[in-house]
Amino acid sequence: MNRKILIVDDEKRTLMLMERTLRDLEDEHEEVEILTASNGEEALETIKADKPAIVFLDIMMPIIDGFDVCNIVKNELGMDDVYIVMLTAKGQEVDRQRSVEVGADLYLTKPFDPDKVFSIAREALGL
Amino acid sequence: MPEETSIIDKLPILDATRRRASRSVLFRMTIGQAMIGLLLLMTIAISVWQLNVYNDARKTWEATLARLSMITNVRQDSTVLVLVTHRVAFTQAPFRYLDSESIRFATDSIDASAAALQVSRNNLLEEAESLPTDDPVIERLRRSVDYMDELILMANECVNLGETGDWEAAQAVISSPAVDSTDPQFEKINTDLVGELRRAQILIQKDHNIAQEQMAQAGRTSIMITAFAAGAVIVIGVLLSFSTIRSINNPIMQLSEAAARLAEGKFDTRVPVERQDELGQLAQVFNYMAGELHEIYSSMEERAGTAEARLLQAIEGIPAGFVLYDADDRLILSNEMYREMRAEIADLILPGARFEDIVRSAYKRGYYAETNMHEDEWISERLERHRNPRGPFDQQLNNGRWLEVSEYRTQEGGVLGIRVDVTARKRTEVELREAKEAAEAAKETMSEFIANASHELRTPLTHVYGFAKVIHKDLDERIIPKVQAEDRRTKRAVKEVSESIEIIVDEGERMTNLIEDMLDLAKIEAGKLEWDMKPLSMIEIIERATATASHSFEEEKLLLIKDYEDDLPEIIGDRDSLIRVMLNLISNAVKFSHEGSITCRARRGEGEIVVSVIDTGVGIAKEDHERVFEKFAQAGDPHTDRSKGTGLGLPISKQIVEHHGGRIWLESELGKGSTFSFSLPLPPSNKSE
Repeated sequence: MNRKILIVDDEKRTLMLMERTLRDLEDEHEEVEILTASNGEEALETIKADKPAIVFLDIMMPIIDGFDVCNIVKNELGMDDVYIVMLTAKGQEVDRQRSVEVGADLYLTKPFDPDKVFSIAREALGL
Repeated sequence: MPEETSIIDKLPILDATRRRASRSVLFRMTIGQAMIGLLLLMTIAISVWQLNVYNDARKTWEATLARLSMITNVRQDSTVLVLVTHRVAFTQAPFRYLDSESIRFATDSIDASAAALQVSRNNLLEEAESLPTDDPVIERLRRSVDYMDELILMANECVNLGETGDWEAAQAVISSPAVDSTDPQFEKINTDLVGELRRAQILIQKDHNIAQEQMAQAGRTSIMITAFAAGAVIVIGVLLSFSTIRSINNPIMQLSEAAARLAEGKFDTRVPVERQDELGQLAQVFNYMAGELHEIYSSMEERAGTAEARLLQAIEGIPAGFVLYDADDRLILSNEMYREMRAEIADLILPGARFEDIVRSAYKRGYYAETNMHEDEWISERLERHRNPRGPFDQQLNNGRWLEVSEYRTQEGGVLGIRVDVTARKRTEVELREAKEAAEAAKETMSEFIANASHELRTPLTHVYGFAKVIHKDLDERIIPKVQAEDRRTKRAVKEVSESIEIIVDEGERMTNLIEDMLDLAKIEAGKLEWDMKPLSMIEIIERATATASHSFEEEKLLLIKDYEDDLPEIIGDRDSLIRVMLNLISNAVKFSHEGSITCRARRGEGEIVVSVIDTGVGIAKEDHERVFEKFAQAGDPHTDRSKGTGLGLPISKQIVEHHGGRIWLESELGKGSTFSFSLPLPPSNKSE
């Protein structure tokens, strides 16, 4: 069963924090694998290649932002079984609406509680 | 009409004139007519008399004419006698000389003469009978007739004797002296008759001439009288008419001229009262009327003058510019203030000037502030607005002043204009608008700044908070259990590290909340928050909030009391915002209460619902009541660590409640707990319930 987790963020420290937050899952379950991408293109390639079960997707990224990635994955690639969690520092009402429009499954604002991220991932992976 | 007679009765001058009615024009005309009639009657009487005279004369004339004719006949018959006599005398000769044949012839002619005589004799007799018996002619005629009878007898005897052949005897009869024309008796008779006839003829002729003269005289007299009467009638008539017309015409002309002067407004006009007749009366009435008119007009003029003066005074007293145009759009009047306001175009503001001309000239001089409209367009719009006023408008002048122009149609079709200098108001308005725009711009900038700042803050905060939490977890689960610290200082250090990380995590949480609150407040203030207004039950909101906050009651061991009024009507509001208000108030109450209870109360007020959160905590000093709703203005001792909130909860609550049309307030005293209340208006349909 595919239990890959993809973390997408152009901030290295955020990637690091996310990895450390979710590392316990990787340690505890052999099939769980954490992947990272630091921009939209990389994220799309990884999604197409590895088909992760859950994607934590930052919105504010250069060239292809989180909304575009989500839209391509959910609507153009038809991979609607990928669980996508939008992560944003914006916290604006319009962003929440936009996330719903492009088909995101969840919307989290930064700063986030690592414990909450952990439980979301575990639930999404069915562990 | 009764009204007219009552007016006439009021005139004292009329009583006298009525008595003198006998001298009236009508009377004079009647007298004139009567004179003419009398004259005609007299003329007719004289003519009748003259006709009688004529008739008498004519009878006489006719009688004399008859007698003259008869006498002429008598003279003719007498002539016959003479002729016969001469004939008989002639026939005597044959009797003497001729034979029997000749004698026969002679007797025949004597017989014829006798027959002629007989005719004349009968005529004379007849004529004598027709004459008056005392006429001397008759006597003469008788004698002539007698003589003729004698002659006829003799002639007849002669003829008879001749037929018997006794010529001698016949001769003897003829030869008698009686038959002889030379006989003196015969002469005498004949001469007498002729003389008498002539005399009679002269007398009759005289009478006849006199009668004829009388007839002619009567005719002439008649003609003369008639001609005189006709002339007199004509003269009298003409004179009478002329005098009457003159006597009526002059005063009427005077009256007419006077009436014309009166009509021109010369109320002191009077006509001379020279007569006592109807025209004199008319003149008196006219003068009386003129007097009355003068009086009425004077009093009206006075009143109108007073009214106009008052009106002008009032117009001058209006604390605004006043101008009036007539139906032809020509200026009638303006007050001093109007002319002051229009000082730059004072030379155009003249009575009689047309509005359009004033506006055009003023526009050409650049009197009005420039607009982006074309000249013609601007003027035609201004004129249209002037002719069909539709409420006041503001007009900017080139000198920077603003006038509020109010125009109204008058009943006469003119336009009344009021100008108020609203420069000060306009400036204030402009300043206010600019200030408001600046404030809004500042708010917008602020809101944007906060949004940007919060975004920039979030990323580092994510790392601080996130890593602190990860470290805390690692520390608690993996590191501390493995640290075999024996010495007291190391043990203390491990414990302090753990506590410090906990504080970092706590502060990270607090900062996160602060950023959220700041952002929300900025959004509400900038009007960017989207409200989902729906009918709601306030009790459900309170229940939801208390459920969310239940763990904090348990932590603090506080008693929650719910005090709702039954059947509270629904209100219209945004569910999440109102829950947030309740949560803010409850968390405040929990924060400042060490023990006791927290009461959530909902009551129905006058057209509103009032919700209160009552705690038994430390209370808030009176001087801080207003301040608690300000941003970052937490009450109480700034050094206490109990101030866990962001300092934005109450300001956000205030914004939310005010957005719903309600208000929020505090009742509290230090040490006696606090009561935070807010009201929400009921929708119109529920207010009447």
